[in-house]
Amino acid sequence: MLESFSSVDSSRTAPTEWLLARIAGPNRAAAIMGDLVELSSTRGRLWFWTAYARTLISLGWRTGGSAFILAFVCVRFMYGTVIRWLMNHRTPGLMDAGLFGMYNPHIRMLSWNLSLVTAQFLCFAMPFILVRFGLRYRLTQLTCALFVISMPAYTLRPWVMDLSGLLTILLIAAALVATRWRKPLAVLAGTCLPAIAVKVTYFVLLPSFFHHRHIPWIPSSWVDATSFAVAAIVCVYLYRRLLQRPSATDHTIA
Amino acid sequence: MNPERSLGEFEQIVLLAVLRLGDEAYGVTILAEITAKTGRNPSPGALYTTLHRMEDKGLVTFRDGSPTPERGGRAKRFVIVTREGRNALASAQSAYQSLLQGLDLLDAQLFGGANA
Repeated sequence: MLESFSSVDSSRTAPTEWLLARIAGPNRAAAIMGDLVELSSTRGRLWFWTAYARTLISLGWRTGGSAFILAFVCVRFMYGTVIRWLMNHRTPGLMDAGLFGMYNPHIRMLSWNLSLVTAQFLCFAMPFILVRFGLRYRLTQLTCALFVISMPAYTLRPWVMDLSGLLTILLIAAALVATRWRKPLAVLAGTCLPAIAVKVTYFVLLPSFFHHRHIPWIPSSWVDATSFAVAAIVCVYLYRRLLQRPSATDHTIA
Repeated sequence: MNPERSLGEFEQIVLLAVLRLGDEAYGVTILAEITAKTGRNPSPGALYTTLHRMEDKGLVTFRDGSPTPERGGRAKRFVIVTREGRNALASAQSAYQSLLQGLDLLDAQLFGGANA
């Protein structure tokens, strides 16, 4: 009976359904595969596999895992190319001034550090949030706005850094005042703060504890990866708790 | 209108197709209805992404049907528009209606008016 209806052998689609279930969940995956199998009876096997691949990509690229990988690649590009281009070989030693200029107290670093720290973490958070949630959400719009404002601080021109710091403070203050933007700001802060805490722990607290000796057993790239992973997990968790609408089953059906 | 509840064009098309189909709205019939009424041939991936996004927004919900042999023993997942979905759609459509008022675009297209 099945053969007369379907041009795609159901037993062969089991691994593909398993893969789809990893992205969309088992119920959604079963329904999608059922639809594709039903449609393939009139459109053919080639259509089935093409439609399956396109569905997998459409659903898969907004998952937390793919957003994390894309954001991580984006960070490497930002650090390796964009920031280097913005700095344009201008006094890169400022970058080693430490948090609030702790290693070089003669350098005025207060507003500079706010922009630099914001920009540094938004290098990861911005692409992650953009890919994971899309541009239509206030969280993404706020993140992109902060990224655009704070990123010029990497030009290391004092007036640009001061202006960037000032605008960053104003934007954060405006988001705190406006009711609609407060929750997105809370999610963004909650995303960045644990990630900053990981880096501060490694680069500031641990060296102080070990009397400024280098800590050889944790490569700094691992620290980056850990802080980004923490940021991604916290971001998705806070988004679900604070911004996502309740489950559809809680709504009255029209 | 709340921007996070605002509907994109394809979301509106999908919601309208689901409402037209009533109790029979699931992936295959929604795709067929959209093709029949709009001439578009959307990919299943685009439809499922939109449906899942609208489910997350609380605009649609799902009801499982019974497994059928032509689907390899898999159940259909029927789509139901929630009250919020209807409200969002009505709001988006009324915005279109307001903008269309006084333009006579539909009359010109249907009856071959001077501005057609």
